[in-house]
Amino acid sequence: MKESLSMYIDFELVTDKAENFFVDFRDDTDFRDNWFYYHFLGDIMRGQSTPDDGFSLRIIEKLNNIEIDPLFDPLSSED
Amino acid sequence: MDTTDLDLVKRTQLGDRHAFDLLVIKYQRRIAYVISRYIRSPQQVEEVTQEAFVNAYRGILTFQGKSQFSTWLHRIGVNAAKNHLSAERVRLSLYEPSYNVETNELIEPVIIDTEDPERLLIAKQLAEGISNALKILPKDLCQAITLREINGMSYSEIAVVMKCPLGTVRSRISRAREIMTDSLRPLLEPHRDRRAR
Repeated sequence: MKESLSMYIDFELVTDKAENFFVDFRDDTDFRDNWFYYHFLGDIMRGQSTPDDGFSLRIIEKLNNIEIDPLFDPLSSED
Repeated sequence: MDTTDLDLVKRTQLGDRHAFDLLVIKYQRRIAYVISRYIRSPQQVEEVTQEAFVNAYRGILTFQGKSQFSTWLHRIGVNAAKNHLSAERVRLSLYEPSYNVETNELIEPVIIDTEDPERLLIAKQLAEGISNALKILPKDLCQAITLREINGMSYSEIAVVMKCPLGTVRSRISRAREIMTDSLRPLLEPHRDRRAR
């Protein structure tokens, strides 16, 4: 399964297999950890990373109170 | 087109919040960096980064896949930063995002906060940890993960360079990530907030 995750991150997993992959792993904590670690490793290797410090979690928690709004365009006020 | 991102966006548009969480984990550092070019206060950078992701999630149905998701999100981040500055009447820095005109892609900057000694030290420790982890990898695994992460090669390109089957490339890259993650876990875990479980 880690090989599938690795392939998915690299855009090498075909879409129909990715569908099954998500059904299996959507709520799997190991999957979420490895998703973070694999991206983090890549970022560090490219010199593109600073520590996370729980930052992403605070964003995710904030999203718990947010609904998708079909009428909202996030770029409507763009210069 | 980044099919992984597009898959996750489509799943979000169908109501799967977990899919958007994965995009948050993937992009929060890059968006925070972009915003930090406009706003100096780390606390305000975090607040505006949160706002950018909230805006992206609220308006996810407007993303049509005509550009890369990363480009769309980048624009939302810049927009959030400018709106914040406009509200506070703070002078803009001279930073403008860079684009590769030929590929219509963002040129990602190096994300290191050189003004924060503690974060710089941690970043240095992580870089050293990666360097050491690469040294303990078998040579073929090290070459495969380097060609992928540093050189950005596809699996088929790596297969040609390494003169091996595609399946071997898949297993080498996956195994390299697994070994490096295990080796670096003590360094990485503090940056993965366990409450995410």
